[in-house]
Order: sequence, then C-alpha cells, then structure tokens
Amino acid sequence: MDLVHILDAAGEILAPMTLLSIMLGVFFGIIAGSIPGFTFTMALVLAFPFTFAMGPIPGLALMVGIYIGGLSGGLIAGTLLGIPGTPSSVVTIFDGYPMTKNGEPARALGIGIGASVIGTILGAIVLFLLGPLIGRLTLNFGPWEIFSLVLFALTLVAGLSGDHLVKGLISGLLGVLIAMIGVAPTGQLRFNFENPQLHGGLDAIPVLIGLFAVSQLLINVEESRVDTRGTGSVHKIRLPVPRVLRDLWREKVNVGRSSMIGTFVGTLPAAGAESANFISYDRAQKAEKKEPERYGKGHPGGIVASEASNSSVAGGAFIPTISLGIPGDVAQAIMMGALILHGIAPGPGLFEREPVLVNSVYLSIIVAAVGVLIIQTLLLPFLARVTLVPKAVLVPSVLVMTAVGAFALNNRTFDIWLVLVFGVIGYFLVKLGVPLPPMILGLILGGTMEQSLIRALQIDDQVSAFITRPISGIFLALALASLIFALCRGIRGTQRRLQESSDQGTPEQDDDADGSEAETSHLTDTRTT
Amino acid sequence: MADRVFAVGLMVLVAAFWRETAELAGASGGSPVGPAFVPRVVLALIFGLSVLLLVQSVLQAEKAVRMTGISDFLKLHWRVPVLLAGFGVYVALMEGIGFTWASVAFLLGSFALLIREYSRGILIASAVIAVGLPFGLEWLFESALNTFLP
Repeated sequence: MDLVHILDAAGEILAPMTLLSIMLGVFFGIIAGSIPGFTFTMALVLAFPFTFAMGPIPGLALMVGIYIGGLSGGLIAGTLLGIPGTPSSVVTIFDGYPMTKNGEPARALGIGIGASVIGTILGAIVLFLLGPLIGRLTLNFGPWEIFSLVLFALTLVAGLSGDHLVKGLISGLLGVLIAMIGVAPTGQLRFNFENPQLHGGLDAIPVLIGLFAVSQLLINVEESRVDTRGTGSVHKIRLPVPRVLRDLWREKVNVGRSSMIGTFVGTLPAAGAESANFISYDRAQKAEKKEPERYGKGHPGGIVASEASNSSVAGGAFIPTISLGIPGDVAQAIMMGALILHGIAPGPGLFEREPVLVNSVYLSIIVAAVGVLIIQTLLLPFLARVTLVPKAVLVPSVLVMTAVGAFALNNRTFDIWLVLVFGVIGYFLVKLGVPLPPMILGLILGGTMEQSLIRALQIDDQVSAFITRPISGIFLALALASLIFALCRGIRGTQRRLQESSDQGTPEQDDDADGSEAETSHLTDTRTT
Repeated sequence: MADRVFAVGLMVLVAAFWRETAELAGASGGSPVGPAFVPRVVLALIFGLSVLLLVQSVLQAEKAVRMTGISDFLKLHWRVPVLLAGFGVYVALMEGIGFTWASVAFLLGSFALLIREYSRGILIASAVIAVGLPFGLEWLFESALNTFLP
C-alpha cells in the first residue's frame, strides 16, 4: 500500500465539500434507517442523481455516508418501537426493545451506537488489509476467470435465497435476460421489440429503482395499518455515557467477534447484514457464561452482537465490489452504478488504475463511522421523533423523488415508465416469493458475463479452457458446490417442514408470499415478549 | 396456484423472447458465437426451471404459494392498484403540464388516498409537502444540478 496514495485520498476526503457530503450522507442514511419501511437502499437510490454533478470521490463519499448511516440508523426504531428500521436491525430488537420497556432506552441506544461505530471501523480495517491482496490476485484474471466468477456469484446469490432455490435461479436468469436487451457484445441489436427506446437497452438504475424501491413502497402501503405509534419514551433521551462505555468494555470480546463475523459475511454476495446479525447473536449467546438466560430480555451483549455485526458488513461488502466488480448487495450495486456512471469500472485492476479512489473508500467509511457517532449522539431526540413519520406521507413523497431520480439519469420520461413497470413486476415477484437480489445481480453482471464468455471464446474456442485454467476451474467448482449445497438445504428444509406438519397434524401454511403478514406477526410476537 | 400461473407466464415470456432470437444473425467472422447464443442458453434454463416449478407446485401443493382470491386482495389492499394507477397518470401528466404541477396534483391525490386519520397537523404537513417538495426539487435540480425537469 503506497503511503502517497493514502495521503492523497486523505486530502480528497478531508476537503470541506467531501466531508460535508459524507456528513449529509450519514445524516440522511440514519434518517432512512430510522424510518421503518424506508430502507437506506432507497435513500441511496434517491441520492443517485445528486452524484451526477459531483466528482467520483465526493459522489462515492456521499453514498458511503448514506450506507454507513443507514446500517446504524435501524437501531433507533428497533430499540424504541420494537419495529426494525431496516431488515438488518431485526436482532437489535430482541434485547434493545426489552431494555426500553425496562426503562433504559438511552442505555440501549448508546450501546447500539457504540457497537455500530466500532464494528464499522473494524470492518474498514479488514477491507484496508484484505482488499489490496485480493486486488493483486485479480490482476491475473482473464475473461475465463471473470465469466466463472460471475457465474459463481449468481449461483451463490440464488442459493442463498432461502428455501426458494428454483425461484432464486429464475430470478437471477431473468436479470441476465433483462441485461441482454439492446446491443449485443457482437454489435447486433436484439430484443428491442420494434421500440426505438429499447435500442440502447434498459438502464440498470430505473429497473433497480422499480424492482427494489417502488415494490417496497407498495408493500408499505399494505402495511400502513400497522401502528408505529404508542410509545411515550421517544422524546426524553439522554445517553448515559459512562454506563455505556462500561457495557461496551465488558462486551469487548463480543464486539470483536461480531465485527469479524459481520465482515466475513459481508464478503459473500447477498448474504448481507441480516445473516450476520443472526449468526453473531447466536455466537454471543452461546459464548455468554454468566447470564445467558438474559439474552432476549434486555442483555447488552445482544445489542452489541447485532449492531457490531451489521455495521461491520460494510467493510466486507466492499471487498468483492472493489476488487472483483461483484456487488455484495443491492446497496453495493447502486454504488457500483455511480462509479460506472463516472467512467470507473470496479473490478480487477481498479487498485492499480484508481489507487486514490480505493483509499478514499476506506477513509470515507472511517469518517462516516465518526459521523454516525457525532450525529446519533447529538441528534438522538430528533432522530427518535423521525421514526414516527407516517407512511401515508412518506410513500407518495418518495415516489415523486424516485421519478425525478429516474428522469435525471437520461433526461427522458421513458425511464420513469420503466420505474413504474418494474415496480409492478417487483411487487408481484415479492408476492410470489421470488427473491429480488438475484435478479438485480443478474441485471448488473449479465452483460459482463456474456462479454467475458464471448471474449474467451474469441481467444480460444476450446470450452475446456474454462475448466483447465485453475482459477476459473475453482470458481466453476464453487458454483457447482453452492448449487448442491443449496439443493441439499432445500431438501432438508422440505423434510423438516413435512415432519413438523405431520407432527402437528395440521396442513402447513406458507406465508412467504405475504411478507407483511409474516412481519406483522413477528412484530406482534416481539412486542409481546 | 400462484406458482403455476407464474410458471406458465414465464413460459410465455420465454416463447416471446425465443421468437425474437430467431430473427438475429448467426455467428459472424470475428466471433465464434452469434448474438442469439447466450440468450438462448438463458431462455432454455428459464424454461427448464419453469417446468420444474410447475411440477413442484403440483407435487408439493402445500408448499406452493397460494393464490388468494383477487377480489379479496383488492378489497383489502385496494389502495395499492389505485396508487399505481395514480402514478401512471402522474407520469403521463408530467409530459403535458410539467413536473411541478403534476407532482403537486399527485401528492395531494395520494395523501388523500393514504391518510386514514386526519388531524389539523397532518393536513398542514401534507399541504406543505405537496407544494414544497415539487418546487424544492425543481429548484434543486435546475439550479444546483443543471438538470431540467419536464
């Protein structure tokens, strides 16, 4: 790692405008994370058009700020209302909400903020140490390796789609198919269906806004009956700093372990902060010797495990995005889109081509973590009120902002129609239990996969080269292994369910199609614990 | 039932795209494969998986996603299709009367649709947002980002 590049990056990040971008990003990220149903991914989508007018580093810094702020912000609603602000803060509720009910909301929030900041910084350090190593390794990647790697990422994402392996695979393939609309790598026009607007293909961003943001907003409309009010504790909050520091010191091993779990899970495409959350909580509970029975009833260790792991995911998630060009989650895909818009292609060689930019990512994560600490500590009473914003006001406002964001991309209303069409498609897919992350990854990586395949075959028309080249062969073997693993898990899950339903003697109900029902019942359970 | 409808829908989609690939040229001099090669592989895989989904939904009927009556769904969540239709009208209006006024109309209409309990505070807040947000966005995009909205 060249010190000159680090200093150059520090100069860029500490420039007043970039610093302001990060802080604004953190602020809006925390707000987005605080409002149940309005995820920070949506905030990233809305911020996307603002990066057009910025340079690549300030633009990326703004997005990193939102990302880090959002990962942490979910704890506020989770702790105060018992409703997760973001999916990655579900586990925070287990101990955060009981602490609030026991009259210690400020202590719970303080522990969450502290663990979140430490987790973010530890994740950034791992990224700083591992990123360049993987980056150097990828310099040897040819089109064979890139094709096999993308294939592996797609199978991994589809395989991690819970019990819906078939639907996950379909989703990923549909994403690849959408990516093929427009001009083929060989130069011919395809799948334009006589529509001149489709000649240039479908821009990933409006599709992504529709699939992810609009579909989520529509689900919010369904769920708007769920009352998020009813707690009087949100207005009077002052952090008990010495007590929180003592709690964090007592949980220092837990912080370190959960941060490492989060960082590792973050490197896996689509595994995400949600998985890291549960794994860390489980480990923390099993490692607790003195009072394991207090987990779930207001143990500081539960909050620490959840928040340290979900925040450290950021550092891990940037590793495949920067070094391999494989976004680990939807948020990473949006940030990758912003970089591509500025003419920077993440992936092999980025460390050599753009060393200052890469170092700026590490530094902006750390600066954003400090921003989270300052903003959440100082503005906690205000942020607590934000959690009560009614969805009836939020949803239409965000829809208008998504329309502007889509339009600003190419200055054409066709892109807003795309948002609407893919919003409807995304909504129905969610209802059908089809996971959306594989589709988004397929959409982002489909073009690269086809291009690499064709380039590889142009160089050497022997298909066996994909297997005989060691790295490519390893990725293909991993792709196969991930499929087999997912298949076995699916079969085991089916057997378990059949066993359970035969034990209960009642026919099984599958609520996956209606996330709202599942979530509502979960929330009811949590709030009555 | 919903899985079956989804699988059949996918098959129709595959057929439509496959038909399009028939019109594409084959492999040319520089490239060993033509523009239809990869899409056909993808389409064949989607078709195969759709068949699998169809079979699964028949064999494991209790695991498949159930299709509750559309009328029941509409009765419970009628605001969703109305909001979507409103968004469509909004985009169409945007080309006619411009972003700002179309947004004001859309926001006022949507607030009226979604707000279930009115109070003086909510009425004032929604009116301020309905007017302030479109004008604010227009100002921001046109003066700060040099992007002219429709």
